Amino acid sequence: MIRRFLYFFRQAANAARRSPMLGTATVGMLAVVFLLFDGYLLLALNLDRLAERWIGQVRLVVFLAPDTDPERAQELVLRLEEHPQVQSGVYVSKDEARERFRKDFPGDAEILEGLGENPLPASIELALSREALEPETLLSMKTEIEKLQGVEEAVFGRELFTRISGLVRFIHLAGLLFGLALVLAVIFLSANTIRLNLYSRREELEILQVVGATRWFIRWPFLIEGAMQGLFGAGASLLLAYGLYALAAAPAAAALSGPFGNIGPVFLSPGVCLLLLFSGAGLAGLGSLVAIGRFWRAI
Amino acid sequence: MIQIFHLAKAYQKEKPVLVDVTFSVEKAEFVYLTGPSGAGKTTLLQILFCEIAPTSGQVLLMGRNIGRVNTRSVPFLRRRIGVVFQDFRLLPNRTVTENVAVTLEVLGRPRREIARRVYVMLKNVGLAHRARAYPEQLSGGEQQRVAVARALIDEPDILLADEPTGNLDEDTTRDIMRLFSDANAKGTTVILATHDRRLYEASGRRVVRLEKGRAVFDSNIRLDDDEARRQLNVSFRPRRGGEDGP
Repeated sequence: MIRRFLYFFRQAANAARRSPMLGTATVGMLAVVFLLFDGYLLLALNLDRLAERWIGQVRLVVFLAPDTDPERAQELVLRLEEHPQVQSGVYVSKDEARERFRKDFPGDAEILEGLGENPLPASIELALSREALEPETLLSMKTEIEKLQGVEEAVFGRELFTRISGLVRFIHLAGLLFGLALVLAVIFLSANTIRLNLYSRREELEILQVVGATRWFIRWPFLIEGAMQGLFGAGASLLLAYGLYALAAAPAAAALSGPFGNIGPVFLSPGVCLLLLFSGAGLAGLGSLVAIGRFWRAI
Repeated sequence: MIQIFHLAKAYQKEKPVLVDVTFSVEKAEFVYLTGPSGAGKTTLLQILFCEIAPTSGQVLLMGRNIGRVNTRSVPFLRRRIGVVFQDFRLLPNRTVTENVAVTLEVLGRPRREIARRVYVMLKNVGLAHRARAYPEQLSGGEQQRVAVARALIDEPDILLADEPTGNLDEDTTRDIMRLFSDANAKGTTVILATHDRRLYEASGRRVVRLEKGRAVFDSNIRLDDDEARRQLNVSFRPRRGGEDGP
């Protein structure tokens, strides 16, 4: 069995040696296609991380009615913490709210002084589980919580939140479409090269059949050749992508350091890189099989 | 070894290539299949080699009805049949050794065994000194010897040769025929299609002649053996003074 596969590998290597230009061109084209996809994955991965970071910081803020006393507020905290989606609740009294305002907006502190009585309401800030951080869940929680006695309003950065959630969904959807386009492009490119190879070696394949070669015996070298081209194409694209990433990482980190804390860009994980390499080999191999199937039907 | 019953083949309905051919070939027999161009010799060989399917009739090849052999089994049947063509059909970008080795590679033989057997075979056909040459560097006779070596290297049960000496001069033809005779002497059944009467006239071997898709002569069937003729359905035309021979 191993001997047989070594033979197929040798045949595939010989075929690649006989038409180096075609093979190299195919690897190049596959590398470009994969580079586009790698670029998308990098962008998506990093945008996703940013969005996750932001979404993770979202709090559902429950403003309490002015007549709610601190005991009632503590009761509410306990009650809200029983909610399965709530991880923790922090009571922020009117005074604490004023302190925060002073701290966050030091230039505008006089506004509060001018008003006399502290106008800021007491509130409970709820940290939620990741599953709850969906616009629909947040809305239903808001409605539910607002029905509680002593609660005036529950708010979250609804518009921004919806936009970011939408962006994340868009990235994922685009990934599906991009992935599908990649699959088709790789299969098409690989099938085309193998088809040219098949026709240029038609006579040879006929002779192989004459001496009793099975179809799989004839298929394997082409399958291996296609898979190798896919593997090399995907590998070359990852090297290129890493080069581009290395160039862009420092400026991107500097640009992002402000609003999102210290969150630098990351490269694709080794697992994803391996998956890309295997996809390259698998899809190009599949392309070869498609070409061979069509070739058998045509001759 | 080979039994052919009422075999017919038509690529187009109104132009049958084989009409009604019946004959059988014994194990280790050497049969010349003769007839003018277009008589159906190549088509008959193609059917025997499972390259094309007959329109009607039956062929039993080594006990198997080839009409019932499924596509996946065809390669395994072919491994027991060697084929030699008029145009040699060698792999242009492989050496003589590689061309001969391909038969054993398909069978998955170890490399060492392949190297040994190819060397012995090339010595037999007188081409050991050309082992590393490419087909384009060989003469027609040498190329055909490579093709014969490829066909015979695994000692096939049957050898089918389609005008194997059609492109060769007299001396080379003799060399090639000697290789076929040797293989036959070792037990390989040989069917050799040719329209060159010099090949078979003095050979003393069986001759089956096709004309317009029919077997019109079989040197195995006696003139007076009506029963045999009826059973085999061979329409017989006797020789007249040697002019109208097969």
